Amino acid sequence: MSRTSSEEHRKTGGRAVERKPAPLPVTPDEGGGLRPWHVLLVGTLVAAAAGVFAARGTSLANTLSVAAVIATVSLVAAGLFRTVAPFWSSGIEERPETAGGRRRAALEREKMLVLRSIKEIEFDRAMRKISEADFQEMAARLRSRAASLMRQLDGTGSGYRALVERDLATRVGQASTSASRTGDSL
Amino acid sequence: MASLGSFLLMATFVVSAYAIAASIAGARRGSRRLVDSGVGAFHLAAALMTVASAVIVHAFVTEDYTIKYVQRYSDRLQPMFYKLTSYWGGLDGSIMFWVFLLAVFGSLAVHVNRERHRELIPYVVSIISSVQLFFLLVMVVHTNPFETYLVQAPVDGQGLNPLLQNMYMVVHPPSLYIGFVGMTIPYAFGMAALITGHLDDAWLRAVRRWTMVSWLFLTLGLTLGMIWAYEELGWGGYWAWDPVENAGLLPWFTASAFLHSVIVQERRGMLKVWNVSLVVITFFLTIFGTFMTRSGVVQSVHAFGEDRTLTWMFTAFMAVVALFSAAWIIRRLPVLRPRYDIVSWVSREAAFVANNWVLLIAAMLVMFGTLFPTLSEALTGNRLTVGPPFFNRWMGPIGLVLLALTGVAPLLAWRRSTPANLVDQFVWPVGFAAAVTAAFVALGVRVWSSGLCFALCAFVVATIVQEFVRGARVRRAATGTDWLTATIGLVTRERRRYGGYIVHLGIVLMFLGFAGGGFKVDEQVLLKPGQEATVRHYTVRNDGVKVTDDGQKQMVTGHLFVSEDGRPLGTLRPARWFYRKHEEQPTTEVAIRRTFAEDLYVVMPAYELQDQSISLQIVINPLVNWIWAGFGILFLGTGIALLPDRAFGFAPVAARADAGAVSAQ
Repeated sequence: MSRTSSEEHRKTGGRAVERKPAPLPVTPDEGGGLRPWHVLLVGTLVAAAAGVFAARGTSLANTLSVAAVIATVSLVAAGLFRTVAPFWSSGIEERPETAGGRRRAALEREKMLVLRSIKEIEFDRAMRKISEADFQEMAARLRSRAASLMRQLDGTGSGYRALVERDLATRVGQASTSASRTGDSL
Repeated sequence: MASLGSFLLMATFVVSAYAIAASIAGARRGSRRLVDSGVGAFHLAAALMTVASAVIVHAFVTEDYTIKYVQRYSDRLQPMFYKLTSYWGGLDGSIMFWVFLLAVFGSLAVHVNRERHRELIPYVVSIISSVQLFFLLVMVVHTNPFETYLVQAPVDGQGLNPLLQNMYMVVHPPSLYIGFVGMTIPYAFGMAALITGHLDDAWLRAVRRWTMVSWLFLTLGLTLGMIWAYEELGWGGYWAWDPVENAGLLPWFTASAFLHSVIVQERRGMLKVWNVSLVVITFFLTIFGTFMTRSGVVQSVHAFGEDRTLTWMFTAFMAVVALFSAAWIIRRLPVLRPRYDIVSWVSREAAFVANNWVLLIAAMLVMFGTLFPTLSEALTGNRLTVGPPFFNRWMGPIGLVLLALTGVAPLLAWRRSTPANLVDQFVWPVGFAAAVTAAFVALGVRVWSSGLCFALCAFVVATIVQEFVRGARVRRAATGTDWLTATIGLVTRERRRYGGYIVHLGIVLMFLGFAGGGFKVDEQVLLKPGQEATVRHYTVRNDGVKVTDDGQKQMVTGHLFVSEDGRPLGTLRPARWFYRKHEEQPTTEVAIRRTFAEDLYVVMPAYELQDQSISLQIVINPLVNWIWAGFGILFLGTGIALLPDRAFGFAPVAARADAGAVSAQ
């Protein structure tokens, strides 16, 4: 078992921890300024107020339902924005998910399941549900499988260190692009 | 407004078609822009359906009788609450409501899983959108709820069916629909996994919670349907094996099977083909159930009526679903091989397999019984029906086998159990069940089916208690805490297992309620004013009949003074209500005196205003309230099993340094 995996296993107290797959690059949208949802919210409030004004003098139920209908229209605007925005946004990379990334996520999930299975049979043994011989055999096989999975995860090219460095490089690159763009707008 | 509604439906149709095209093209070309745009369109379809729903609700609120659907299912005197719920009171609106719920549910599922299962999302979007597209097509070409009158519209509506003007019927359809549409999410993820070839356990993790939520809503819908039938139909029972009730039960069986078999795949890498097949079958049965209710192929008090066009449309859609799903399963068979085989038939995985088979047999039997009249008519020309006796004869024993497995499975170990383990695990539960059986025999209980059910309930309860006690003991030893802390820690750290045991406890209570039916008393009496009738320990006296009117309906109410063994209990008021718009269809308002031991259930089928005499059906239903209480426990257990991992992140773990090896996790 490699050092990284052993330390991680010790830190979690042997508990199976579901690790989220490596985050994908995000669109840089931090910082101030007017955002689409600001416009949407203000527009909705103005439209709903106008609707209520137009429906004045009618029953309360009618006024409320007019306001509700107008409010739901804002959802359409949001949905429309999400449908067309990807074609304008410069933050989306035109690249497919890498096979390595998928394999890594699958290995992580299997490792988590194997660790959970180990804890489960330990618990079953403590509750006297399985014989000692069966426990030893099953536990040995599961531990061997867990070790093999951890070795695969720590292998060259898909190790944590390489992945973290790749992510960091991507983010630093994006941050500098974002900063230069913000500087331009200012 | 009607034009806007029709436009919104057509816009949703177009947007859904675009979502399918963009998602598939994006996935095949590896284009993030297209995939994201497809996902955006998927959310847009949900938004459009939300506006369409708001528009039809607005039409009901403002009494817009130019829209045929609004005119047919509401009227001016109808309370506002029922005007709102008339949205799903008829065929056209119920299909639209279905699409609305599917769009919202699907949107939520895609949003939650957008990063974790990125590779599956384009196909999930396209599959859910395809299902939406079918229902939108049905609405656009056949059952448009925004259709208007061509000439002058009536000044008032026809009103909602009086039977549906009931609080339980308000909640029952939405919960059943959520249960039905929710099963589309596991299907979409399962098919996406088959199409992409990512058939590790990732898709199972994505769908497990969605299946559990859908299963919970399906159970809630079925339970509310039972309560509604019990209180509104006035025949003294709660489940009559009506085809539409059965339509809801079919996917419940297969979803229950999936929730168990998924554990086997996660733990032992087995049943991969079986699990994906169960997801497909469950989805298919939800569509089949919708088809049965709306096409008129079965006759039921709940059905919307016969519709041949709809029958053909649904048949074609179901054929496409079956062929598409089967083709992908067959294509991926080589990569769906199990990691391990069953080593011993005395193991937990074997018990789960048995549970799955029994549930599937139950589903097949119910389907056979439900479709038998239609099949017999098609084959022989005569419509032959199999009534409740057929279902009870078969489903009673099947239910008892399932109950027994509920107690047996947790006591078995994964892989195999040795004789020594079996003795250690079974001695207390079997001993307790034997003691309870002996007690009932001594008390003179001679209804064998109910007696066996009580014994099995005792066995399952003892199993659950033993699991909690032994688990808490192990945790105490590991953490050095007291019993209460250890038990709470046990449940919070292993929510799925112990939440499941709580669900089993709820099921036991429900079975106790079903077993109570073996001791039911049902009598008919005719009472003149002042006359009394005694049924077991209850005495009922006729104090007369009164007629009142609230504008919407005329209410004829019988006033009955009730006593138990001479002790006054108060007045019961069974009634008949005649709605202005549906006078030919009076409703039966049952009077019930509830206790945990039994219900005194009184119906007034007939009356004579002149001489104030009334005809009464007096029913004593033992243990019936345990069914509803059982659902409450089941709800709690499912809620615990559904809690996210971080829900108890605040709870410190006081683990002893020397006892780290064994924990409940």
